[in-house]
Amino acid sequence: KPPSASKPSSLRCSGCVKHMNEMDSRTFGAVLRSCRFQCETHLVLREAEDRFRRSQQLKRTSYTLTHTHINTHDKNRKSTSED
Amino acid sequence: MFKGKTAWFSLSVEQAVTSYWVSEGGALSSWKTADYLFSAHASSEDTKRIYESEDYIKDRATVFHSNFLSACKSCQSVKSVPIGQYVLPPDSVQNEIRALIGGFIWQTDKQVMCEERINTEV
Ligand SMILES: [Zn+2]
Repeated sequence: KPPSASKPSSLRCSGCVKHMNEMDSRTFGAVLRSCRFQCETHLVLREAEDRFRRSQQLKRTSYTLTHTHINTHDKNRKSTSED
Repeated sequence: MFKGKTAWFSLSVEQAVTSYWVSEGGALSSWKTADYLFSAHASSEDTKRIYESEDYIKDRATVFHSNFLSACKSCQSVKSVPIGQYVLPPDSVQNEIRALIGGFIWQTDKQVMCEERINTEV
């Protein structure tokens, strides 16, 4: 049993205490989001990352809007180039 | 130590770290399927590609700093190193965070953060 389990949750959030067997690159975001308390570091990190994501999404949307009518195969081409 | 886990390593990660992962039973995989994504530099091209990916936008592709594995090695355990302390966000996000709360654990001199250490620091 990790000693962190008995620690009061008000001190550190799951982003601070959970180890590798409890979350990975795919679940980290969900774990942090489902955690009611977030320490300052993880709160700031999540907010900044969310802002970055929103700007990425905006970029994508405008890209799609300007390109769909020109090149309908764009999506296929793009996904293969990411491999 | 890493049996049953898959990881992707950016080219920015030292070969020794990747070898350590493999020697401890970890498997290698593409960045789209790996359980863990490790990089040493957010500005590395292969890492930037992840930040621009659909998975990252959907919050399903957190990149961790490869120093995490060095810490595991020093602590001789994965359970005493909180992986959430080793998140490696995009450069612009790093700058924001630095301005607000200072640096990241993986930037400090004491790269090893075994649990005993953290407990005393809180
Ligand atoms: Zn935290």
